[in-house]
Amino acid sequence: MNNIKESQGQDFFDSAFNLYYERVVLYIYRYCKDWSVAENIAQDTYITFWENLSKVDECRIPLPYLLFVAKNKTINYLNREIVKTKHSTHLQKEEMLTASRALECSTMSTVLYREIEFLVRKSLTEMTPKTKEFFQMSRYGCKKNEEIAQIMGVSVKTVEYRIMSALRVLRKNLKDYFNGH
Amino acid sequence: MNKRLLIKHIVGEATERERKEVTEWISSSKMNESYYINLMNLVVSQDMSKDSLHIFSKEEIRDRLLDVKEKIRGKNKEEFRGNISQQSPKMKTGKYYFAVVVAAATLLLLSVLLNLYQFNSDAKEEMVTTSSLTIGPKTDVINTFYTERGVKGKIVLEDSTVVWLNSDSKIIFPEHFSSDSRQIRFEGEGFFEVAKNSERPMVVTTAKGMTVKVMGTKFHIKSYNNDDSEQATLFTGKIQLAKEVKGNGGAMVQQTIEMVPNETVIFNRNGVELISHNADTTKKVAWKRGELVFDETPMSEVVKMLERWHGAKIVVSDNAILRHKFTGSFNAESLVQVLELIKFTSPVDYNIVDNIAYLRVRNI
Repeated sequence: MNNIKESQGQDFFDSAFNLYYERVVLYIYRYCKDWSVAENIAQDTYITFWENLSKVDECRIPLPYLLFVAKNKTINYLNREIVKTKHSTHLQKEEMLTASRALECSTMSTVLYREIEFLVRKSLTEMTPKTKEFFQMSRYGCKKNEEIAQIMGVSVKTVEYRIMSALRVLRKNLKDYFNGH
Repeated sequence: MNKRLLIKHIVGEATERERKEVTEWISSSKMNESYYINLMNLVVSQDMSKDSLHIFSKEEIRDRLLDVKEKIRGKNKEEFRGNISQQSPKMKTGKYYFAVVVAAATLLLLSVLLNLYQFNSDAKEEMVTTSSLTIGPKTDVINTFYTERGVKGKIVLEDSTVVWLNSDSKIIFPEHFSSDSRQIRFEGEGFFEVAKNSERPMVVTTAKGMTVKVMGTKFHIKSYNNDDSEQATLFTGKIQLAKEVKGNGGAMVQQTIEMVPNETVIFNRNGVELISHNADTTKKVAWKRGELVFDETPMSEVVKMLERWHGAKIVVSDNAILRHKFTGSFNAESLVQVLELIKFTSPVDYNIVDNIAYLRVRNI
């Protein structure tokens, strides 16, 4: 039993590496501006990922988790470098400070917007026609619930119920991207 | 301070002096710092959304996976093995710049993108946007730079020629130009600022068969494969324009035209359709400034331009709409906002289903 689980974990880890390593390195590189540092932190990130594999649900996409870990490691790296007296010029320290602040401000929803956009589209196809129509009127047509109720000839409660159904579908599809990050 | 310099800094291509300039600018006000931070995070999100990054080869990734596994195994020991000692990978670039894209109506979760504001520099407003750079195999010296629908781009070639690309456009060029001419293939809409070189003329060829030969000049080309016609407009300098058309005998003949500034030449399949001598040069490159301009434009054209600009799909159910002419200009409005304005000023109604916009005649 243990062996099967271990090899499955191995496969999951391997594919997470093959698929996302470049992205993780590039993400870190943009903030630390040094390729070998970026690769070191990226590899550290995957080591942490491995150590926490049992806690990561294999049904979920590991990319948001990987970037979340990478983000924290990079912030720590930058903050440590900034206080070191040797090895960096004043200019480099200023740039690292800005990069560290930028990282702290960034959220997974902006970093991975393309994935999120795809999942939003997917969610729309999974809604029933009525739910989708109400949802689109609300979010795309920018209409208030009361307006929708009037246009569609139903009660406001019905509108609210429909939109809640839509949000449920969205939340299900986007769970990888918004859970606690 | 202009956006182009900031982006140069973000992607790590700024010189020492430029870095000092940018850093000083950032520290001079909280607003500047906020702007830079937002821009930086946006560049990163653009990077993350690419289909393929082409940083490492499959072998290199496999090597690194083995390194990581080594590290995991040796983690409890004092010594680590397998530290990265390879050369930093070079992201193969014709020099290129990433930046902000105009978001389509579907990005409902990302209001932060809409809070960025533009800078105006005294010189021309340089609108740089995201694009995808596809890189051939490492031994290939031909590069392709293209923009998808809804995206604009800008690229600087080996000889310092600058090319701006509108949505859904493509430029194919060699990494190193040959000694006698600078050959480029182009599709879509673009604005070219060609660096002067009388010994090596630049020759731009479109998929529809038009050739533009220049020494040092500024010109505009619009040649989308799904349009009936293609055109070129000369801004400054001299161009020799040529197109292969069907001659009287049925054989293909070369039609050549020497253009002068402010002239627009439009070709259709049969040859020259129109030569205009006072082209509205500002309108021709409004897209460069992020503006979408319609001036008595037939809806058939408007629909195409909106599809390209926003990367959307629009279906027209009443053909009567296509003949209607629309006038209006837009700057960073979403597709829904544009459609609302069209609905307000024309007998056109729309609804969006499954991310497709359907247009029909509005019953008044």
